[in-house]
Amino acid sequence: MDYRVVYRSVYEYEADVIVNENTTRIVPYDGDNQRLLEHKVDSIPQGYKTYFRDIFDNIVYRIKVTEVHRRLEIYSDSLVRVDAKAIRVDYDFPFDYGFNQFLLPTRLVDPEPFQKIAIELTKGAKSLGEVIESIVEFVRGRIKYSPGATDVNTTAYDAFKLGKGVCQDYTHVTLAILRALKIPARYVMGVVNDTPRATHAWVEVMMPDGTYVDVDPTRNRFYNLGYVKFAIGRDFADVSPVIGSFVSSGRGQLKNVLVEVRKVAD
Amino acid sequence: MSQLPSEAWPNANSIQSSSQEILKVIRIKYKHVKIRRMIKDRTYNEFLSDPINRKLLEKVTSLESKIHDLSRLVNLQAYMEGFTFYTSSRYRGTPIDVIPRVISSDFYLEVSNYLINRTLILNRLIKEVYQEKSVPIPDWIVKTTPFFKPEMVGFSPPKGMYVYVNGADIVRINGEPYILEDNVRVPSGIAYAYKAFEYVQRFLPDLSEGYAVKEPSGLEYLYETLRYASGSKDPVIALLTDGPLNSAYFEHRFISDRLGLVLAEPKDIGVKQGEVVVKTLDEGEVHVDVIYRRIEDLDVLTPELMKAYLRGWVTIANAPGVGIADDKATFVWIPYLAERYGISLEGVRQPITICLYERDNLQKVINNPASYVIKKREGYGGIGLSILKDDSVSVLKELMKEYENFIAQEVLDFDTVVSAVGDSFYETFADFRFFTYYDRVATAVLSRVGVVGSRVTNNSSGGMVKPVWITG
Amino acid sequence: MLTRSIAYRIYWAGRYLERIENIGRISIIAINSGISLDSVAKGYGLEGQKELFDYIRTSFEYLRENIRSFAGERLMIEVNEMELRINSSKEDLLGYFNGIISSTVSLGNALESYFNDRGSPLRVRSQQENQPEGK
Repeated sequence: MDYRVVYRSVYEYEADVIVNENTTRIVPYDGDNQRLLEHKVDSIPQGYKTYFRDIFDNIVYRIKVTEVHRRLEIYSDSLVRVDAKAIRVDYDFPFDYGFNQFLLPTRLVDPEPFQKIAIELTKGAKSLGEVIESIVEFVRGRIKYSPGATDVNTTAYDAFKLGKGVCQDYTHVTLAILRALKIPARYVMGVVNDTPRATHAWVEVMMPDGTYVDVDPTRNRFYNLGYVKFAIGRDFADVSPVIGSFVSSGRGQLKNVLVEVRKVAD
Repeated sequence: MSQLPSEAWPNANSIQSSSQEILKVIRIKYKHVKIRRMIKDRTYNEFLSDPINRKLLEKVTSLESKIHDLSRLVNLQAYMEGFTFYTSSRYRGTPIDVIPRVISSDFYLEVSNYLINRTLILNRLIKEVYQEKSVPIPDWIVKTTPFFKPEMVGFSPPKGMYVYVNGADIVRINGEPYILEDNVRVPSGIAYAYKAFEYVQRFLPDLSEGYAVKEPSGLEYLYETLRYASGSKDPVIALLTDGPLNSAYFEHRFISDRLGLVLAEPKDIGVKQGEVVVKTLDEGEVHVDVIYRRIEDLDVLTPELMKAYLRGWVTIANAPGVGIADDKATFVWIPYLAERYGISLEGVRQPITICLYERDNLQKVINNPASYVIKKREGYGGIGLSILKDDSVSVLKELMKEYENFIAQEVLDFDTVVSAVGDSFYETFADFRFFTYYDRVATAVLSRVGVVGSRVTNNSSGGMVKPVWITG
Repeated sequence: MLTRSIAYRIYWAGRYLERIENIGRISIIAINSGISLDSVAKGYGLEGQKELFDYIRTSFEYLRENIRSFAGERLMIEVNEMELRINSSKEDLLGYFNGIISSTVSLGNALESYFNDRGSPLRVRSQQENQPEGK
């Protein structure tokens, strides 16, 4: 399925901004079940633009605007093909994955405090599928969707204790429990394919054959979600769509984010 | 007053087996002063073992307690005269260790030839990244550092030069030189090398009897390099400092005095149509050809200067964006780059260093942390350098969280030296900093001494500076 | 060539030097007139004697930072000698403040010669004439 994907974020500032430098991950991932057919990233005003792939192979643009401005728009326009994957989750649990980067503690997801819960939760589970489903059910039961309760720096454990959060927190807690069980899993940032209003976060769980299956704990959906993923990482800190800093005497704020996903071909 | 380490050390007469052997050998030849030892590991003490120090050791032994009186005097004088290195924004004399470190001209030449080639490699790398837009090492390493300057891409700096000055950190292991860091951004220290040398010559002239010691020099290379890049016979050069609270402000003044540079702060710099000026009270706006910058961040302090530079109105040294070659993750690739560019790197070894974004390396370090020294990439805050066996758990967890921003190095047993501290002589760790001015290396070499018992030798950690003598 | 930032520091160095001298002189008048240093401190908007000494110390540190931005070794020695006076014993208060005043005067002189000592000034002088002395 081919999608036209547009991302746009607009920032406004109280005073002149002299330098504004941002690192962006706002085009669809080019790999796994996705093929990036075209893409364009730019800003208004325009700046010095550099492209690279990060350690997770995400497409990154670093843009530095040095023209004086009070409003900055960063946007992307892409065409991506999303294919369905063959999904299999009936692998035996537990399974020893050996050493894996996606098992380590991260800035926002520390599996350690979830150790007990994870073991309790999966008593009697025989397959990875059962484990995934019971974790998602548990997380959904413990966290109430409430925008504004958490922010980009909230850790998995803090969100868990608070019992509130948004998709990012559902994802972080799910990752923490999976990793506590020594199941490698990664954070995915992207957009859903049915009239998205913002960027979304979900989970990809590694299977013993090395493939990943996608799970959306926030919306309680499983496998072959059909969403468009932008970037993968260990937690949100690896995949923030736009992160950067500006030099100005005044403050600035994110005025709005616009996300559009339009199906252009089957 | 000057912050000499306190004298309240436990009595460390019990010198351990390894160095006891060395000491015995020397004791047979001649007696020397008692040296206190706070270091557990086996080390090679260059002061006691390298024959080049023999006359000096005899002299120190004959002067013995007089050395400590003179050492106090030197340190008091340094404090009174304003020979400062600031830590935490307080007036503080730079602690001086009066026992010189003696190296042969051969050693100096070997290291300088290496560093000249190495600087060539650094310049080639930076040029390749910014001008040829092909990154010969993993792209993300270069483009994630805060020191990467997107606006430098496609820009040709004056005379094609990026790194005008760098200050490599060199240590010795059994006398052999190893490079630890390149320091290509705004390296400091040459004034400290000059002054440590001068103070010891002034107060302890007897020490150099029997040695043909070279006078420290090298600042003139800096001047010539800056002048060459300006394309003018008699350029106006300004040293850009962020002010007296910079830890090395003493050096900023020292260099501008000796070389006749205008010492300017960001607010003194003005950009006009077609030129950069320094605003003065007595001579109005003075045109400037070259900015020798001693500040890292041009974006916040002088954003207009950067634009003037990109329009070719002024030369900035070091060129903005050179920090990409200073990243510890880039350091790992220097031997590879030497091969790629066909430049020979001989005479100095680089410790075995691995990047942790590679899975196998990461696994090795996590499974066996005690065999590595880990270092965080520049500009990423937090812990700079850690020896894992000292503080395994918390440091290891920090490492796991962003392993791609760490490198791991083999644990090396650096050679030790002897320092006069308080009323005793101690065995200490010390490094060298050699200053390379594009294609020449200063004979003013700095040696920084770690606090007694510590391997960390940077001045912010409170260590001393030691004069370096190049002889023969 | 005098940059603005250095000019600014010279201006403040002068003010702090004057301030330290001023506190010294007023304290001496107070001591000689039987007025307590606590009252002097209040005159400066400070709580008491202890704060007065802290104020001298702080003023000195600012003075040193400002002078350090442009001065060479000779001037720095004068500056740091003032620190020795400021840190000296306060048992004999009159002697203490006299010491501070004399160090401000000597630093003032050092600054004077730093800025003005260009050797003897040039002047038009008349040539000694050769007076005929023949008999």
